[in-house]
Amino acid sequence: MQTDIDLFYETTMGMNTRLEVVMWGQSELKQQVCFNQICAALEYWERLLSRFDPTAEIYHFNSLVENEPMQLGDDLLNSFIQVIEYRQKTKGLFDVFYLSKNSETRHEKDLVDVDPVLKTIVKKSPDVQVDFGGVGKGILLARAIELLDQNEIKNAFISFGGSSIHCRGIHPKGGAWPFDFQVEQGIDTTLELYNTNLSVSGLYHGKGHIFESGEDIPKQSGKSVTIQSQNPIEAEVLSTALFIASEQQRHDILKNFEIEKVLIGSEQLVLNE
Amino acid sequence: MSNNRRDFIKTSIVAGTGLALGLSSFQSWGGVFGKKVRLAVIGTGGRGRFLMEHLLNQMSNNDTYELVAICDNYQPSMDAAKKICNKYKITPKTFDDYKKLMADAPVDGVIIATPLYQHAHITIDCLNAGIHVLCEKSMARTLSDAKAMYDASIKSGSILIIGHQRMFNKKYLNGIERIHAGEFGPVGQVKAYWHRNKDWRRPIPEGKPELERQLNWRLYKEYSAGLLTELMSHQIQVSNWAFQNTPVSVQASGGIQFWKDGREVPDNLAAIFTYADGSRCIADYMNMNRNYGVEEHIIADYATLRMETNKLQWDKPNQTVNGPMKTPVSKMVDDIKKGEKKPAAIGGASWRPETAKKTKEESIYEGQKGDGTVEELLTFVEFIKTKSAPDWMLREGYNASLWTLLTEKAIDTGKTVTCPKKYMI
Ligand SMILES: NC(=O)c1ccc[n+]([C@@H]2O[C@H](COP(=O)([O-])OP(=O)(O)OC[C@H]3O[C@@H](n4cnc5c(N)ncnc54)[C@H](O)[C@@H]3O)[C@@H](O)[C@H]2O)c1
Repeated sequence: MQTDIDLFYETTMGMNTRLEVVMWGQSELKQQVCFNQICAALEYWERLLSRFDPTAEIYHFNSLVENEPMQLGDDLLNSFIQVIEYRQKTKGLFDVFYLSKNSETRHEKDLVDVDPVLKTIVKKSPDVQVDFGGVGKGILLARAIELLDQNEIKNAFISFGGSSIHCRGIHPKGGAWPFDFQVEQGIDTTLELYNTNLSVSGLYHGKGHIFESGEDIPKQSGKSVTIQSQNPIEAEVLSTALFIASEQQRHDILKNFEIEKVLIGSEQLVLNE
Repeated sequence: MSNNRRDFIKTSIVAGTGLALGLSSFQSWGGVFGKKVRLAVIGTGGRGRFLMEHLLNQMSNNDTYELVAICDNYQPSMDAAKKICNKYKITPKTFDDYKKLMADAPVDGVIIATPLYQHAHITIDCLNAGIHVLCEKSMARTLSDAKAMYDASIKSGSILIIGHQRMFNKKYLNGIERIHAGEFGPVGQVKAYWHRNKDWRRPIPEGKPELERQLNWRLYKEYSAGLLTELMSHQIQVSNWAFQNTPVSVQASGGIQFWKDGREVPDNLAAIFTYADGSRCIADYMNMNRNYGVEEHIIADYATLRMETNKLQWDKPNQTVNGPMKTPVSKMVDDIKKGEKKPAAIGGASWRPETAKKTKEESIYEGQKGDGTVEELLTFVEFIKTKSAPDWMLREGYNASLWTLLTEKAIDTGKTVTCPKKYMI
């Protein structure tokens, strides 16, 4: 079976990590074209979301003063609207905004005004900063999924930094894509995945701004949080938010999302209770 | 810019052996063929005399330059310098004021090794008078002085290079050239430190306490930024060079923790530089423990280079040079090609203690003797002969000085500091 499957594998760097793409079962050309489009999308999103590239939109936003509206393109506007919604749905535990003066503490109020009609965003304080680090990989994966669809690629596996995964179709040897990962001390879990997305948050995966949620913090479990979802952006958001959420918060937050599976360490969280 | 840099690297690796020079330059300069490059040393303290010794020592193999004048305004330094001249049987003119030297001793180039706060005006006066300058690091005590030195070189057309000798050291040149060629993959971090266990003081002659600030200028903020300008400037130069970029910001903290002897500069400090692509340089300095010594670790995807100790370690021991890096995903692809289905080890945090990996060490480059100072001096002579120097070299010195002084600001204000536009070049 393996001899004529046109197995494609390439890798590139972006958003400070490595993107790896495996595809098979489609023509060599289409697979290469799709990979090139994913790379272009990565470059495009990095130009929007980077905090470090002085030519990037977010870099520009971070350097603005208060009450100075910034004009947004559709993609960035929609991303801002989306992340603000996620902040509400996660009770503030996922938040791309923070105050540079006091980046360790959470803030209670909205820090920006977004006007979807004028397509602008305005900071309410000059110290407002934004960091899409906790969601950027999910946004890119969502775009990559569209590109795989457009190019009619049925079997693929994308790993972004080893912690954000998309897989579709089947493994070249048949059956699910199998993954091994160590979720906590000494415990390895094997997951068999078809057509889904995975995001893993653990101490070794910096996910941008993870704010401490005060007293509610779980007595440190040191456990990773793994989210399996049809929506790669929500998988990212939740793996960040649930990593710092208390047990009660986890359940409250999960009511707002449609998720396939949540693992806290190696334990599967029972959903919809 | 990187092309210029590469060209220079190639030239510089052979410079000092004489191979880099076209025959024509030998014909017009030196020995029986014509005039020699006339050099002077201004500031014959510790470093100035070290440079003098090297210059004089090399003259037995190279008769294209001569030391025609020396200048110092502190008699003991001048006396010590004269002793060296006697040893090499030369009698350069001596001055206690560089302006007199400029007036009375025609020179083609000067080597300035005065304390930091005495760099800018001497350099600028020389450049404007058409004298080429090798000025010791760090460039200047203030941002505006450093910029004025840079501008003076551009405007006058006189050569200015700053004495970061690693730029002339074949071990560094070789390592950096391979980094730029991508042999080790993208560089994510530079980790630099310089730890010493001494008070960093010069002895004060008995009965002359008034000389404290003059001799121990390194310890007072009026004259120096201490460990930042004197040590870190070298390492941020290496970092910028490796990244082929300058930082976008610096965060730092420092203070006087141990040597509470009246000094004003920190004896314990740490800085983090962020570059535009998110890579970072982490640098720390202390004067109370030498266990770590001095090092710059250049940490790339596939290898770590320890520049000071000439060590190269591949992160993937089985990987061939230039070969692709093995990741869990690429291993899975290899398995598929072998017709096997094995899980890809991905995701999840590893909770085992992640102690340093032990991999085989190789040398970055064999055959560099010394730290690059001799090559720096001889290259300066060559630059004077050809009346040109690659412009990246001054930029390297300027940017090192700039970010060194911005680090001082970061420590003093406790803020993340970026570079004001007017100092960007
Ligand atoms: N590249 C290196 O590795 C390296 C190593 C050591 C020092 N340095 C640099 O060399 C410079 C000198 O350091 P040092 O250790 O020799 O200091 P030092 O104090 O031993 O010597 C400085 C000398 O300059 C003289 N001087 C001061 N002002 C003068 C003036 N206006 N005109 C003429 N002479 C003057 C002093 O009398 C003294 O003799 C500093 O910039 C230092 O950072 C570089």
